[in-house]
Amino acid sequence: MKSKASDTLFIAAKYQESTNKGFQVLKASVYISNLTFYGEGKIIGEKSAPRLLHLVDGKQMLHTIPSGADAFSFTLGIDSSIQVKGALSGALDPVHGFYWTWQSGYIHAKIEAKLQDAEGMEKEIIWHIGGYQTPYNSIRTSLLNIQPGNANLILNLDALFNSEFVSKNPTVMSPGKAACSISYLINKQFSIQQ
Amino acid sequence: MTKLFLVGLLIVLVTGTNYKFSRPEHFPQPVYNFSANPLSEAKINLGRALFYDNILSVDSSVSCASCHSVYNSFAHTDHARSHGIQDRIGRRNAPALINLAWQPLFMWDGAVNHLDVQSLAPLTHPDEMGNDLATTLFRLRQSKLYPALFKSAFGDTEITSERFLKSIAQFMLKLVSANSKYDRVRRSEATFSAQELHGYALFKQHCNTCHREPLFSDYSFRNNGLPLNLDLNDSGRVAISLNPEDRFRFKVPTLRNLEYSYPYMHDGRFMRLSQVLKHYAIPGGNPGVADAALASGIYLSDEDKTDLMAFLLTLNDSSFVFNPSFGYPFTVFSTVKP
Repeated sequence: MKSKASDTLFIAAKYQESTNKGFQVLKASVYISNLTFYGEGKIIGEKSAPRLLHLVDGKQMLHTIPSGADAFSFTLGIDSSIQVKGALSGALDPVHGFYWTWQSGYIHAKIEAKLQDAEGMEKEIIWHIGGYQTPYNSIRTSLLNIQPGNANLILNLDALFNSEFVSKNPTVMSPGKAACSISYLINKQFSIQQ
Repeated sequence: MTKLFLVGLLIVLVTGTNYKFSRPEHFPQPVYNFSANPLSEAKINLGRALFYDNILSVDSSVSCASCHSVYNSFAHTDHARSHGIQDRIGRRNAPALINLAWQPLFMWDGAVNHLDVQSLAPLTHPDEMGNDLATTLFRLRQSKLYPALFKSAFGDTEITSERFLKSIAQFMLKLVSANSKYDRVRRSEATFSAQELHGYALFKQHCNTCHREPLFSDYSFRNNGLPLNLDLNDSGRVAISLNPEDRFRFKVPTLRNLEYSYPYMHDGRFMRLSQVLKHYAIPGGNPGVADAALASGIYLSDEDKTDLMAFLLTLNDSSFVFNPSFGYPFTVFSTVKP
């Protein structure tokens, strides 16, 4: 069965503040670009332009799902070709605070949270994940399948914060190895809920 | 065709006359993409006002020109390192802002990849202007001067980051220095003296690998063998590239206008050219530590040094540093500023 033209793809972050005392997500913002839909292996429509989504604001519409789509791909972050274009507007306006001023480059994702570790110690997570140049390119791409109907692209922060890597790298705010690893971890926590 | 012409005419009428960027004949093609930011007199005029306006710093105390003075080839000579708000001193020597259309990367470590976004770094650095972009745009929108200047540059009064940044870039793109005695010799309008000619030969033998003609830099990052200043502990390019080979590498600066743009080196440690020559003219070279180009050593007799200096002084472009269209925009500020 193929999806109807009116189906919508939403995006949201999943986290349960109530289950962990002192747990608080302050920021969960991501650039999503190159959203591309596929039907039976063929591209439907065009790639989307970059959008900056603040997931702590709740569930948001990402795109209409074109008729016949059974999968989609997207990029977490901003392509290198855009990173070298100088001053840009709209979602790419540096005024949003997702462009480093000390070193050229967009911040693909900002995740900031307070949580408690297993011993009850409070931990602050500050991740500003960016970097577009090899070997520390932290731009990530995913391909996910969808069934007909509305779909939710869910970023599972609970699972992300359970990762051992988190406790070892609570603050990462520049390009490099750690940013690359964290961008993999973030990307792995995207899934579809329908 | 007529339609196209009318549209073109309309654009010119709204945003002022185009500014023709002319490449000096003996220069290579610029690397800046002018098609994404076509120059106009009105945008350059706006960029110049922004460049000279203290409103850009958080406490309205300094402007871009505070560390990039036209008389110093848009470098700064009072301090070894840049002097920002509240008398804060930065880590590095403010570089000369000339011939930027040919420069692929900016800052001593190449941290900035495009001229349009370069201004963001000093604007927001706590030791420089200490401001943020949103506050800056808010101030510009509230000012009596800028809505009108943006209107004449872009056709409406909207003040955006892109317009703001591209206008400053336009003013900086205009800062082409290509009228030194060296340039006049290249254009067959002047001739070198015997001393300058000998200096030129020495230059080509010892310096031209890195300070390549005609821009007098190849804009690469190199370790020139300076001992590390332990107070600053500045490891240079490696902090950006994260490539261990880039440890203590800094961008090769242009030698143009060097008499106006002292002190020298990324941390401004040398006040005089003679100190610079003394650093390089080590007969034994700098094997192992410094750039391969310096490994075999440079031998210069005292006479050689004098002659090389004579050549280097032919790179001074006095018509550039005294160009009234590069200086403080009295007219713009006096007509509208309260």
